[in-house]
Amino acid sequence: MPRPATTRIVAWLWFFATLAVLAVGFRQAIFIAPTEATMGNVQRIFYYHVPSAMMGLVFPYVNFIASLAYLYWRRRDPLKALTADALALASAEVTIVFVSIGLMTGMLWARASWGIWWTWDARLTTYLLLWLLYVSYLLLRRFSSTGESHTLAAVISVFAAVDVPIVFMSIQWWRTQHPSPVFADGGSLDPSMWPAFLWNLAGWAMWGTLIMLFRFALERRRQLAEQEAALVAIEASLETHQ
Amino acid sequence: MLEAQRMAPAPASALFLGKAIANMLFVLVVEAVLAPVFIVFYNLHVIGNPWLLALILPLGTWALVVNGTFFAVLGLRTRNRELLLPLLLLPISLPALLEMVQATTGVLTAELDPLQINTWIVQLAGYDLIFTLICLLLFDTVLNAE
Repeated sequence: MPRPATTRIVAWLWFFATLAVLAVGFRQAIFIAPTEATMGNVQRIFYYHVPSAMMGLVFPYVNFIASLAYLYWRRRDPLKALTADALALASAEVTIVFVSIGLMTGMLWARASWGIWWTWDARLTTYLLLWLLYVSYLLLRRFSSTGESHTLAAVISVFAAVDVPIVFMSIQWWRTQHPSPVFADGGSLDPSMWPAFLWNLAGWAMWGTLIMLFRFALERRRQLAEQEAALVAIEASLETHQ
Repeated sequence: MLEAQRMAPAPASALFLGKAIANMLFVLVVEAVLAPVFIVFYNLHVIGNPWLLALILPLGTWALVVNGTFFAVLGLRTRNRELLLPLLLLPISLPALLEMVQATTGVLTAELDPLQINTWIVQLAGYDLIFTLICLLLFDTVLNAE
């Protein structure tokens, strides 16, 4: 079924808007934002690391809500449930992308500024296990037989969603090597750095939404094709009985 | 067994609770045997309040048992279920593991003050509560996944 014209136009506009915002963010982060006093230019990775990390904590909730919707509609309205499941899958994959980027940029930054690639402090550990949880979400979908995989994966998503607040609380409960929270608890970001940060946050949020919706549309197409094939198979089997 | 459960009037969460409690009892028996063995072989001197250990051990054990029982059932009808169980259990249990290790270390070495130890214990109890509730609520969904 061809995508309606308005959706395509909006998608292309959103794509170009995203590129524009990311370009502005790049210019802000690399050229305009002031150089940080102690770390120098290495600090500029902050403008990519923190937005990715923040997005990596938002998309799990999209997955959670979609999974709850799936579980709710599973018996009541299977077609809606299938749509919810497609959204859950798309957001899980985008979560893994953002969490991976957050982890990798974090490791690069840590190596450059602290001299270590990794440390087993609270925030890093729990962020890593958020990544593991969503990897196991995707693995579970692959390993379980069709029909069940949606439900079982939705259950995993509930568990993973409970884990995300624990990730956040770890910042407050544990003394860690990670810099103390920049935005909460009185930590502060120099006002001259806010534009770069906000442009990048907006740009990566837009990009994440774009690829999630793109993946969602792809999954929906796959589901609809599957339904078509099943329908054709049923009709074929009906005809042979005449 | 699953068909019998479907016919019985008891909710599926009752089955889960039964399994979890049974597993808990087995593990507690093993712990009761192993704890003195550990104390002897590692020459453990508990510097802090040892009665706190009587609180931490059951709470920690329950955290591991309740998740293990749930995910064992969840993986029942998947391929590669031997791979899936530890893969799922590790990230989910990690917060509980951290909390119980910190609490136990605090009690054994008395390097943490009582307020911090109590915070870890309270967090562990909170973890137990949250995950027991989630497992109870979702067990029916998992059992009747198709």
